[in-house]
Amino acid sequence: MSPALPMMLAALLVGAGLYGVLARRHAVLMLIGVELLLAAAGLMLVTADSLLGAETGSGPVATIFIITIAAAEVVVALAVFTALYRLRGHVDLDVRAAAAEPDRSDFDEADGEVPAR
Amino acid sequence: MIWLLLAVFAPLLGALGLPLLARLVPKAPARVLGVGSLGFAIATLTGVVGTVLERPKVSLEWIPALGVRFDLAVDGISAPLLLLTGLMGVVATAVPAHIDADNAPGAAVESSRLALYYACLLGTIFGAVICFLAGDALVFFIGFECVLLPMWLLIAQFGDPAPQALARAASLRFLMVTALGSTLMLIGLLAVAASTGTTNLQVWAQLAGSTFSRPQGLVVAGLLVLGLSFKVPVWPLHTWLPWVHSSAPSAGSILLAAVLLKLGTYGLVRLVIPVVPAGFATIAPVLGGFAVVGIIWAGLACLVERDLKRLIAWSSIAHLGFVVLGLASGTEAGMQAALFGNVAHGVISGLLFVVVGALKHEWGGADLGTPHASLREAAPHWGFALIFGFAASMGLPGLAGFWGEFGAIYAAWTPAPGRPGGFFVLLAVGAAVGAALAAAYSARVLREVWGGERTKPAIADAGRIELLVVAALVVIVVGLGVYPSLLLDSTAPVVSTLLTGAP
Amino acid sequence: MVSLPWMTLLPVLILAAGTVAVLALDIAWPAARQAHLTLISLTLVAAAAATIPGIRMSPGDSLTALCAPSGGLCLYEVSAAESLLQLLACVSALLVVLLAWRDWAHGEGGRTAVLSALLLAATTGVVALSGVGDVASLLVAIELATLPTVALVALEHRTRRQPGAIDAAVALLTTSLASFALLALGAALWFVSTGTAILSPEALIGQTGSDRVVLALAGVFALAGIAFKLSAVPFHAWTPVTYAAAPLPITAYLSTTSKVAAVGGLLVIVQAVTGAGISAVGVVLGVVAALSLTLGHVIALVQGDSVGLLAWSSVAQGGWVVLPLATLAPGATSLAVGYLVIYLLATMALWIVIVAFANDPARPDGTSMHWMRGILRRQPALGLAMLFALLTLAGLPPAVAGLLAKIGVISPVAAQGFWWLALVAAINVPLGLAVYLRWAWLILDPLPAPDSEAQVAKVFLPPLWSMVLGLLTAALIALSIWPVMFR
Repeated sequence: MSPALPMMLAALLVGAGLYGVLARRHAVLMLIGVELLLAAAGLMLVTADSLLGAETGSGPVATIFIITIAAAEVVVALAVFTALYRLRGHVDLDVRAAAAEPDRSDFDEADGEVPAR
Repeated sequence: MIWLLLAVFAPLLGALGLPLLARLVPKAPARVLGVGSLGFAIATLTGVVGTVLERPKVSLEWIPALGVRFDLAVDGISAPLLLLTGLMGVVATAVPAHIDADNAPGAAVESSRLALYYACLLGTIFGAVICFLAGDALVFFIGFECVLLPMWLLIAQFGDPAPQALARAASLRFLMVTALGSTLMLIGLLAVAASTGTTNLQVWAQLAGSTFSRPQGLVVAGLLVLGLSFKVPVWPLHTWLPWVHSSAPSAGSILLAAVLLKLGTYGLVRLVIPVVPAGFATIAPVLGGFAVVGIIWAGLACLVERDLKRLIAWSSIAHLGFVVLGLASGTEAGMQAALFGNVAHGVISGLLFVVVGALKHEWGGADLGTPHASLREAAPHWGFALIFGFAASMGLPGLAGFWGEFGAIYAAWTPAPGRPGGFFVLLAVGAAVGAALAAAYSARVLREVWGGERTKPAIADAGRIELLVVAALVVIVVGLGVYPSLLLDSTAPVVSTLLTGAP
Repeated sequence: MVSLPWMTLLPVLILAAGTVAVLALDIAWPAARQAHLTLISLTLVAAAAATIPGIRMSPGDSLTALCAPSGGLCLYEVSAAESLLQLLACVSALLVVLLAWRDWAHGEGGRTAVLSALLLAATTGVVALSGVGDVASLLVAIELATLPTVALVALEHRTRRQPGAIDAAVALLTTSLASFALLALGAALWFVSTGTAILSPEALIGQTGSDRVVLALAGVFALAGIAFKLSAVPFHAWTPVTYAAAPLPITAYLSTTSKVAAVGGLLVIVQAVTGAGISAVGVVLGVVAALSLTLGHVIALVQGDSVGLLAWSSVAQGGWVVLPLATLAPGATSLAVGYLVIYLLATMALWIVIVAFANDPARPDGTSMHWMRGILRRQPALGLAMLFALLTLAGLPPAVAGLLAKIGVISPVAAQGFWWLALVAAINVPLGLAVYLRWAWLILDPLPAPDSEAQVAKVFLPPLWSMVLGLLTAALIALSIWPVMFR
């Protein structure tokens, strides 16, 4: 099998993924961009493994690891994005950057929930 | 051995112990702290004298990963500087502190603040003693850095109270400039260490740069000289010094001029000239040129400077220019003159800062433009000390300043083979012009401060302790001037081995 | 088949087992709070103790586990320096537990268990990261070290601080996601060019020209993927946002334990590519170090808040740690680890004080630096400890340990003749002094603040905190006299 086709597909995925990550306006779109990059990495690993015919099967194993980690990432990411949505009513990452200017007067104040010493 | 321990641990214990004492006994009277710190300084001096006579060697395993051993040793070059450090430690702790309380001028000073002041003085002395004793490049570097924090505190906390922001700015400038210089020097030292595989200074001197290729040696010598030039300071890297001196308390100025600046020139002698001789020979004409520009520049500045302390700082730059010129000439005579001038400048500038510090306190400022009572009328003792100091400073024969300055000019006139002779003759002429400028600005200061008929406002003359200090320094200046072999015989054998690279 | 050498893997296994035990305890005894915290403390102590045999090895040796039966290639390998990293991770995590104890022991049911399990899981990742020997384990370990911290940042329960904490978590999350993607690409490229998943110099024998380009690309991608954990410029953008709004103990975790993870990962990658002499990786590391140092120090100069200052100072300190690695010299790793030891001890000491100030109800906005004005007069012991920590970070005697650490990281740069990098370092030493001495000046400042009662009130440190602070300072003093941090 020629490696050209899968590698070109991987390059395409990297390009699309990078666009998704760098343009990152919508949090979920950024997440999809990351997933595309991870898919490209997995594709490269599997392709290289089949080309080299390595006995240990490291490539597919690493790919399975990446898929598993990606699943864990999505769980945490969606949880945080949900919290962000509840807080702001949107998940636009650029707006956050503007709003996140630390409002010092609100920070660090002793809060009611902390028990007195 | 016991002397060495005394020389190292007396200032360290003093620096740590006095604040602790002030903490434990909050009502400790100022006199107790003053006498205590003087005691520690005298102990240091005793230890140093014993060390110089006994010449012990210490070599302890310290940081195997960097190949550093804790080596302490004394030789003919470091001995005079150690004695100078011990002596100036006593002088600096003996002169009155003149410290204001935190916020309220005139109020009694808290003992903790006074203890911090003396701790800073002793801490500076500790760093300098380590530096001059070091037989290992990195131990030298650590001593070099040890003086920074106490000196910073001295200037920032106990400097001129009037515009405190100015003292803080000056102290920060001192700290950052010195740190930049010392880091550049460190990079050079580490490069030498990597090339020779050791940080032992004696081994470095024996190898005499044979482990370097020519361009490498040039880069390393350049880094070391550049780094040390900040400390010396060599024109045009001198700009921090006048500001620091005008803000520092007088004891701080004494230590800065008499001890700390010597670290720079001692570094040139110890870390550059024997270690990368070929590289230094290439740089020497440039260095000598900067030194002579500095001599003339500082001399001209002295003619117009209005702040008396800053004026003496400028004159220090000129004198160290002579020292650097002597080193740049590359001959034994030049190095001898440089080492002599180094010590002589230490004693003379110490004397001048004792006088001027006291005058500044009495006058309430060091501005020459303000009309003062003439010293001849109001304070004859201070007047004599000032005349004597300036006479020695301008290099009158028979006083200590003479041998260093004229030795340096002579050495520049006949530089080592390989140096561009014509250029060095030019430098010698420039330096001679600078020496003439010294006479001119000395005359100017004496006319404005010592002469005149005004008797008001009256100021107090020197007290008993101050007289004692001045007398001791005067005796040393005359002694070195009349009998220079005292010092030259000590340095001569080491100088010849350093220049030839033979063990 | 490979056998499982329990003893070698013990630090990782203890922490992993502890994580499971915390969750099991929560099922068995849902109301437990102090019990969870005690359990994770004991777990961390046990894991720390388990790293000791590794640290006592001589420099050339290493402990290996999970090796292939045919050759010497192993999935887990720790040297003495890496064992030291594992110890540091456990100790710094223990400190975070101490700082968080009061806050975590309180709140609705189950919260303590969740936070405790997350902390232990993250620490498991950090400890595993120091020992990983192949790309797949590297990916798992770094994500295990990162994802729980995102959750820890987001799980701020004080309503007033919560919006900021969510933003902080989003900043950390997006950076970590992008970085992980880069790291995965780097791992894939490594596999493509070498044909093995093992991260070892031996894997590089017999490389040809085109493969070296791919290999260099793999190294650069992998570094970019890890650099964010060290807050190295240009992957630092999350740092100020997250530090400012995350719960303070978690910020302390990010600036201490997470740094250990970053250095552990960096060492694995640098050691792998050092054998191949791929200079591109060194150049990238050098540029990262130079940018981090300069930008970190310059922005730290204008911070008015202690946490903000520590955020930017951590950027700069990350630069110092990376500095020796840029030379790809063999001895550079132990120097980087030695620097990290000193940085961690000093930073932990500062965090104790900062959290104590922030917990004090008398001071709203408690992390602002102006509360610390004149602290040396009011509480000399506390002031001295802070001063010593700051001088250590600045690298100025009497804190000789800090100075020696700086000498250590500069030495390979000077030895290998990286003059431009040495020059950047030389400019950054005085900049660093200005940063830390600005804070030190406030501590020393004799001027009492007349306007506020709170400002002159003493800050309260629980006895255990004071003891730990004393121990950290004593350790720094001991290392100043007897510098054994370079393994």
